[in-house]
Amino acid sequence: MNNRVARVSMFVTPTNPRFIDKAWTRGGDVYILDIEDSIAPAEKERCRTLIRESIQKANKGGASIYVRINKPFVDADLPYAVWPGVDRIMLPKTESADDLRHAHDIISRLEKERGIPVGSIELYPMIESTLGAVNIHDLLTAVPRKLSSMGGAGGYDMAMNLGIEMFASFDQYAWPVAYVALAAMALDIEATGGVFVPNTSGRVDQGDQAATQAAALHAAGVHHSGALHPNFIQPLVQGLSATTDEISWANKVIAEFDRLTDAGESIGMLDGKVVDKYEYDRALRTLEWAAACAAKDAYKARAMHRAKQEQPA
Amino acid sequence: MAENINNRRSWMIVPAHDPAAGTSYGEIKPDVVVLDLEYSVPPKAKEAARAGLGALVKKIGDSQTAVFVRIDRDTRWADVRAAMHRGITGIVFPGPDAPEEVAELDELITAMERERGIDVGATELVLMLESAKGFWHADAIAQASPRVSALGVGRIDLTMRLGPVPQDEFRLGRFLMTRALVAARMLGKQPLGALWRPGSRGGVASQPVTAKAAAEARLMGFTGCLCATPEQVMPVNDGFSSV
Repeated sequence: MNNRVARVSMFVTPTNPRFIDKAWTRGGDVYILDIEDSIAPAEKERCRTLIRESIQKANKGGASIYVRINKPFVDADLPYAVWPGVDRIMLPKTESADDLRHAHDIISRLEKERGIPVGSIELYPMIESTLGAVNIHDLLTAVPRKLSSMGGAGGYDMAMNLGIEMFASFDQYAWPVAYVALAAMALDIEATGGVFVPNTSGRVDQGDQAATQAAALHAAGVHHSGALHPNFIQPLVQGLSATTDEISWANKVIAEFDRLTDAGESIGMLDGKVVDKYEYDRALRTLEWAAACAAKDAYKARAMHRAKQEQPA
Repeated sequence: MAENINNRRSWMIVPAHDPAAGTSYGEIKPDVVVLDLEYSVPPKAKEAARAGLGALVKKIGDSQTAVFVRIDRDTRWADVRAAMHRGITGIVFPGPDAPEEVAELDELITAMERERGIDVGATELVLMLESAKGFWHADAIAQASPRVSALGVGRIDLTMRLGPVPQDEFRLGRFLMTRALVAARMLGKQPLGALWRPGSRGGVASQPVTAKAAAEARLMGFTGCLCATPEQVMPVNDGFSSV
């Protein structure tokens, strides 16, 4: 289900039965079948052959499926990655418009050959170097295919390229993250941006980190997150959904702004807060997001129910 | 153009339909009066606000106070026609997305200068960036007309939907301010903006909060900002004055 709701995505390794067979039970919105960094070089060939069957394993709970391929092996990986049921291809270490054109052309050919609507699989250029960040606007206008932008630009590879310490008390990635996010926003491309939360521990598996991360993203207005640990999935799904308080406030704001508009006014007050066109717009978006989350959750619940019934007792 | 544009610290927004618009600035003494046709004017008062601009611009201009008119992006052509009267210092254009929009407005202003007997080229243009497109194209937008005298950071948290981040700032806020600052300084324009913090900003910001937002912006390189209320003029003047 290629729903826009991707509150939390998690990498799974198709070569590890323990992960790929159980991932769906965790209730993630997105699972990323990885052929890249989580797969040892000697395992990559076997991993490729497992992608097609892994799609049906990972989406049993109603999750969307992305596949992350290898930058050096785009030609070899894509024939094993482009299948019905794949929503996005993640292209790591994208640095130029040519990188995207090359992948786009191969994907288009494979879509045609395999009876997938041409152009329906999205491309997700991962920006992991300064060169990729600087070229972001060219990248994002390179191909006639729906793109999502990694507003993150703040991972391990970017740290290596910039020569910075990853786990610092201040935002080392401020420039590339913001530059990439701005380009995406300027082009009306969905950006999966991040928010800097200080982490000097170097660990990414602490239970309370998920709730902290979700709260920071939610407050900033970011609806996407990656989980590095399965225990992060539920806190992020819940933390990034619209809350009942937000929904009821949004309904009040909309009613009040409608009243103001009918009276020829444009600014009012409600419970000590300003109601204006910006708050009205925010309220409409809250309701849209809440409806999208509800649709995704219902879809996941139905899929989960079916999958559990089909499971051998 | 003014002697030193960076001396314009406080740009006080005055709703153009307000009966006190022609007098309220007198005691407050902002560096600039911005007669508003945009946010602070309700739709039902918009026509009256436009109709009253001729007299207001003349009166404020005669008092040797710089007087601008803030137009509404959606109705900018009609608003510019209503604003262009002898005595006007310039137009504030909130939310430009592309250089073409600025060039087009420049032509309209020129036509109106000819029609209303204003020195051709004398009317300034102040651009308040409010959209991702605007910030992405900041350099080109600021160069799209020789009239551009200032480049500012508008209501980005609202227009670009940038929520608070753990650093007590708005997401991308500091980056966007720096982007506007660099473009402004590179091109010799006045940089306008305040470092508003989440929770208290714009029309509801108290005087201490406003003073801090202005003082922090001054440290970042900005030299003035819009004042949504008359109460903000004093703290803005203080915040942007060198100490």
